[in-house]
Amino acid sequence: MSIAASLRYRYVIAIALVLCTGLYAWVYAYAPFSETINSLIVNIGTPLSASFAAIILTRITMFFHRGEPPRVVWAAYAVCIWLWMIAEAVWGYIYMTSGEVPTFSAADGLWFLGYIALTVSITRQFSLVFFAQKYTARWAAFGVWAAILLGIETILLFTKSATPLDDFFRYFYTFADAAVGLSAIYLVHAFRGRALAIPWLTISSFVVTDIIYIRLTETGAYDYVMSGISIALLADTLYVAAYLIVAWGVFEQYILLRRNADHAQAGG
Amino acid sequence: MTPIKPNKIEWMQIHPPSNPVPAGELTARIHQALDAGLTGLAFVNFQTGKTLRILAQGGKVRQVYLRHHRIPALDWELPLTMQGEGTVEIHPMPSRALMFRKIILEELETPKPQPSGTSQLKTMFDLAERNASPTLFHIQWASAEGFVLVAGRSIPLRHAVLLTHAGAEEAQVALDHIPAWEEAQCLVTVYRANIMNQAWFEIHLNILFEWYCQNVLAYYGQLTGTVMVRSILQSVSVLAEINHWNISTKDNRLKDVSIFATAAEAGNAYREILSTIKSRIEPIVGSSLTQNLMKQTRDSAKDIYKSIQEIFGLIGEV
Repeated sequence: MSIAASLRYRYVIAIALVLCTGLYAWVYAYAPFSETINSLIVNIGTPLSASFAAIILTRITMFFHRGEPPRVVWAAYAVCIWLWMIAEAVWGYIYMTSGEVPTFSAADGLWFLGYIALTVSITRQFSLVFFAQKYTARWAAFGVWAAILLGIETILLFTKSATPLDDFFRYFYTFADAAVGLSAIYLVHAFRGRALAIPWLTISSFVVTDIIYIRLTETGAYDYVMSGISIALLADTLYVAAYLIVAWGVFEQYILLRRNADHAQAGG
Repeated sequence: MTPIKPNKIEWMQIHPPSNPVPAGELTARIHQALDAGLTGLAFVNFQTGKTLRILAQGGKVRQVYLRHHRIPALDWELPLTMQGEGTVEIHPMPSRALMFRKIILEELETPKPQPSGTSQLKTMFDLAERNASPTLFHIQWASAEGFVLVAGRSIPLRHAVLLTHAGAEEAQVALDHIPAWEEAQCLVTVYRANIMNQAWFEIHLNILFEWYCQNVLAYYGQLTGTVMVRSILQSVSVLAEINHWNISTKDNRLKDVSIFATAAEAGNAYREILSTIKSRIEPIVGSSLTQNLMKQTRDSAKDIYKSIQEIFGLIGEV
């Protein structure tokens, strides 16, 4: 793949992703089609956008042979996004069939597992970056997980939570997102914003979307409707956008690997 | 037991020495070998008692020695015309063997060959790994000849060439076969590093360069994978081709067997390659990691190699 071709791909993908987000928001806000079609588009929009990222990540994993250190980074990242994609699909299905999704559902279990996979990915990337301290990253990851789980447990004990499972996940997403965001920003800093930084920069978009979503649902603002347009539109569109941003970020990595694979092959 | 005569097979007679012929005929025979793409040595023994050695890679003359001295220019025809009649022998051999030959050629005081058991060779190589500086072993059997270079305690790197009537073996294959060679007795000449000798200087640079590349690419590969390493190696291959350097990139490793005119020229070439590698890494992993990586690699140079780094600055300021 030439540089010109990769640039072309980039533009096409970027435009396609913006159009996808725009289409989702438009259908969400104006429901231009029949109720079934509108509901389908709005509910499959998020898992569909997640699947874009998951597919690209799976393709990236295929660039690495078994045993190659970066393979774990990308394979675990792909597993995370696939799990989140299924979680989004489960959430959408429950919403479509029941009209309401309980605070804790099967989707939360999948999101939780996704965070474990993402931890593996980030931890591996950290140990590759700081290769002199292989085990530091691993112990740090254990430490962060222990701190998050113990911290939430302590909060639940102090607040005498009546719905511990629901509250656990409410706090978990906030803390886990913060940890992912900070780790990702550190990796972006380590890579000084160059090619390898992009996929990690884009994963941080979930920090923003999750914080907005949690804030809106906690304050009840999620259900407000302003000038005929629901506030939920913002939160839900941001989720679609976040997955598409991740898809774009990992697509950059895919293009990078593809171009270099072609370059290496050109020399036999 | 057959007594081993030193130098019996040193000049394995691929093209046996002819009767003395005039300079014109010598020139024609050498040209013929070069045109056939000779990688090896053309040895001319003049009637005057002087010798001329032409080191060639792929039919291109890389270095010319009159007796034991390098001729600055590569014009080998002039001394041939001046010296007149002589005999010529053509010895094809791998480029790595040529690099070792240069050391032997330029050694002012040739160490005495010592009889040894072939089975003891491995122990000798292992012991040489404790030396601060590199060591070259020249092993002669009745029917074969071997070279083993041990880089020393700070760089775990060994190069070997085994020359037999069946052909030449290199690298790990040669390293495995030398201590297991069928003849039980051999003569071993041990050449210890001497940086007053230009050829040794170049070997030091070569070792350090290959070590640096191995480190940098290994770490880069850890971060980005084999695909990205291969892409860099492809760029280095193109650069080497443009500059007529003899660099190969097999098994995701960089191997240099170029014959440079001077150590300074080798230093310039290696600096350029390392700088190219750095410029390919930086846009991917960022300047901070690249600098860290270059610094760690540079700091891994110890003992004599540290001095070589200081003199030649293969890895510049980071």
